[in-house]
Amino acid sequence: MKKFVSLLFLLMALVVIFGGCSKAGNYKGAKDSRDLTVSIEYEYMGPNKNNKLLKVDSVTDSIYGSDLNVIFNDSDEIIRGTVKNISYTSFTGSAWTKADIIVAESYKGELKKGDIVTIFMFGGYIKLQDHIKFFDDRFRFEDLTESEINNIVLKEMDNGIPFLSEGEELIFPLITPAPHMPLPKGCFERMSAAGILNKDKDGNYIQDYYEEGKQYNYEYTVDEFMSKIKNQ
Amino acid sequence: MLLEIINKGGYKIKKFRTTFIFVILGGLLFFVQSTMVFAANPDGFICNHGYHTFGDHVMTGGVGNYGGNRRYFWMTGFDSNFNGYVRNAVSEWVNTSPGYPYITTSISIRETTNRSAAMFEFWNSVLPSGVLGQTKFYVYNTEITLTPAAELPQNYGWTKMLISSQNLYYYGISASQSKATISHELGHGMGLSHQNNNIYSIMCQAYYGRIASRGAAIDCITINHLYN
Repeated sequence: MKKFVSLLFLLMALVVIFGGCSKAGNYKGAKDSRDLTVSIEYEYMGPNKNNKLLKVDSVTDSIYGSDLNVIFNDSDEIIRGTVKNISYTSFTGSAWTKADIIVAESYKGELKKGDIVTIFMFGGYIKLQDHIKFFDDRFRFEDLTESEINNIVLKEMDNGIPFLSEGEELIFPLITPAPHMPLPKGCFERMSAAGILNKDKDGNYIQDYYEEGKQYNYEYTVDEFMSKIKNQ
Repeated sequence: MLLEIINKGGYKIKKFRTTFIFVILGGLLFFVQSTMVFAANPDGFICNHGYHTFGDHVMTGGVGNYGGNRRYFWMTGFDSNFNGYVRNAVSEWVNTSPGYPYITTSISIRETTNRSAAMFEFWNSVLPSGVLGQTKFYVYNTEITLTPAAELPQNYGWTKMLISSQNLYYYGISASQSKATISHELGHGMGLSHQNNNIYSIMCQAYYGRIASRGAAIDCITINHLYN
C-alpha cells in the first residue's frame, strides 16, 4: 500500500513537472503572439446559396504598378500569413473585404510570428439594398421588386482580382491606413493588389498582377525575393 | 570606257546596297525597340482592330451622337476644386475640335442635376491607398464582369466613376493630373481600356508615367472607332 501511494505521488509529481513544462511552453507562445484584430460596426458574412449574385467589375487608376521594389519600399509591414477568417463591409457604398491573418513570418515591420492582424482590401460582397441605401439609386433597378432587391448581393470585383479564401497562405505587403481613411485604428490595408505573392511548390515566389482582369505572373527565386526585401 | 561605266555603276550599286542595309537595319532596330517598349508594361485589352477598348463593347445608346442623343453627367461630394476638374474634364472630351486634339467625335455630354437622366455619375469616394479613381460598369439586372482577357462581355447601361479627392490630395497629385484622373475615368466610362505604353494617351495609368491631362488624338480616334 505504502509502495502504491509512493508510486502515485511520483506519478503526480511527474504529471506536474511535465504538464507544467508543456503549459509553460504554451504560455510562452501565447505571451509572444498578440491578437491585434479589430472589429467594425458593420460586418457582412457574404451571400448564402439562395441569394442571386449580380457581378459588377471595375477598373482602377493607381499610383502603384507591378514593381515590387516600390511596393515593398512603401509598405509598413511585409508578412507571410494564413487567412483565418473573412467578412465583408462597405465604405461609401463600395464593398471591401476584411480578413484576419495569422502571421507566420515577418519580413519588414513590427509584426511578429503568431500575431493576428486585421487587414482591409477593396472588393467584396455588398447587399444590393445596402448599395441602394448609400447611393440612393433605386431608380436604376426599377424593374426589380422589393423582394428581388432584398435577395440580390453585388459581387464587386476590383480589376478581376480573385477574393481571398480562408486557409490561404500568402505574402502581404501592408500599410497603415492614411489619416483620412475611415478604417478602424490598429488595422492594416493591403498595400497594393499587385503586391500579394504566393509560394509555389518549388519554393519560388509568384506575384499575381491583374490589369483590367487580365492576369500577369511574375516569378522570383528565393534569392531574388529576399534581395528585394533587403533593399528596403 | 565601258569598264569605267561598269565600275562606276558597280560603285553606285555598292553605295545603294550599303544605304539599303543601313535603312533595313535601322528599321529593324526601331521595330525591335518599339516592340520592347510596347511589351514593357502590362496593357489593357486591345480589340481585333488594334484599338484599346474593352472588346468594342460600348455604352448602350452611345455617348451623345453629335448631340442627337445627348448624354448627361451628375456629380456629388466634391469640393469646389474638384467640381471644376470634373466640369473641365467633361468639357475637354466634348470639345476636341477645332482646337486640340483636332479630331471631331460624337461625344455630347452635359451636366444635369436630374440624376436619373445621367449615365455618367461622378462620386467623391473612399478608395484604397494608392488608388485615385475607379470606374464601375452596370447593366440592368444582368451579370457583368470583365473576362480573363480583360474585355467586357457586353454593352453596359451606365457607369459610376469613383474619385478619391482625399487620396489625390494626400499623394500631392497636381491639379492638372487630378483633372486627368477624372478624364481617364470618363474614358473608361465611354469604353476605353488602359494604354499603359503610351504616356501621351489619357488612358495611360498614372503609375506608368502618364503626362496627358486630357483625351489625345489616339483616344478620340478610339472613341470614333467605338461610336461611329
